[in-house]
Amino acid sequence: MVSSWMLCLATGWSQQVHKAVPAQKKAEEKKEAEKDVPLYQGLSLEWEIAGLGSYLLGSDILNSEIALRANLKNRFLPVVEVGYGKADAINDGNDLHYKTSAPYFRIGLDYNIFHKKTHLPGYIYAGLRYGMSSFSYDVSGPDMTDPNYGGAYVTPYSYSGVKSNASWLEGVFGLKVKIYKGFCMGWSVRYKMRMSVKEHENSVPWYVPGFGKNAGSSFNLMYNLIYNLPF
Amino acid sequence: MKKLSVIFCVMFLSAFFFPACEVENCPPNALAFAYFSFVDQYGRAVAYTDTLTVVGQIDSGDSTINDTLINRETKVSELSLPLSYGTQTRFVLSYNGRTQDVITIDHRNIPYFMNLDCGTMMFYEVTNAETTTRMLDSLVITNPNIDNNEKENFKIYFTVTADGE
Repeated sequence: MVSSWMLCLATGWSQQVHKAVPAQKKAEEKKEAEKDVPLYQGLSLEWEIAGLGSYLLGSDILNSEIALRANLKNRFLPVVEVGYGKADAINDGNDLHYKTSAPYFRIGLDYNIFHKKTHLPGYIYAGLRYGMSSFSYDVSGPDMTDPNYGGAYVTPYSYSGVKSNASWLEGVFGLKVKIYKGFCMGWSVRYKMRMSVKEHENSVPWYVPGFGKNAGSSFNLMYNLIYNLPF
Repeated sequence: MKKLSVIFCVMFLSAFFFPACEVENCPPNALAFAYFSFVDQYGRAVAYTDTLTVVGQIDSGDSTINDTLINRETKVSELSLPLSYGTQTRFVLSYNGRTQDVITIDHRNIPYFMNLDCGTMMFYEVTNAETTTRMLDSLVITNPNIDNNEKENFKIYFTVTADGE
């Protein structure tokens, strides 16, 4: 139904080009066509697999998430993302060990830049996310020996169950391409800006689930397998 | 469709470039020093023109450990001195080898982890500071938190006469 409407719309546009319809009429027709697009255009379920792939290839960090995305008027794409981030990393150079694992959540909205190009097998989108995670981490390292005063004092460094939370914003730019029937795939690039992270007196989190390594900002590339739900 | 392929390729290639944008957060200075400023009775910066030697001193068990931190320097207007990993550190200031003042600082030690790549460092919170007043007038704590931000923590007041003594 939707695809036949898309086809009609595309044909209509091509006719308009040849007949040179007055600009006002053209605008009215365009407005009319947009008005006819039903609000609800479907739901899709997405699974991000780049983080999992990276973990299987030997990374100390595991990051995987699923997202539920709605399509409204083929233009607005509200999305909810739920993921799980885990890090268990040891720096061989200084024997520091950092460990955490926790879920994270994001909510946001994308805009289909190609909403007029309905004849294409996919679309490009841009959007924003707000992400948050509440987590605890363990951090430990070798005993700290005083570099002065003959090294007379040695202090152990080990903290477990340190509680923290973080929130961040993400700018998203990505694409979704139809592969087969309801199955699609997509890439997206994300620029993340840290808004807040709770620090402990003895440490700052090194890795924040869902955000990545703790810094003011970071880039991320994601690869999604997508299934358009049949309702 | 052609445009879509181009964008797809650009995004694929970006996967190899963006991870390189990660920024390391290691601070340039991983050591925390206590910063002392020399000021006169009016709060103006002054320098001690004669030779100054500073020895750090801690008690460890039954013995006292001395560490020479500054050796016969001249024109000293500020000091940056390391505290110990114990709970008290003394600094013995020897003015031209004749007169001495002893600054005693009690502190709480704060082991700190900033980054997996940068190691740990020791920060401090000054809980008390006392001094003898043979040459100097007084000692004021201006910032009790000693970290790697290189901020002034103490002011050491001297009485400076008109002839500079």
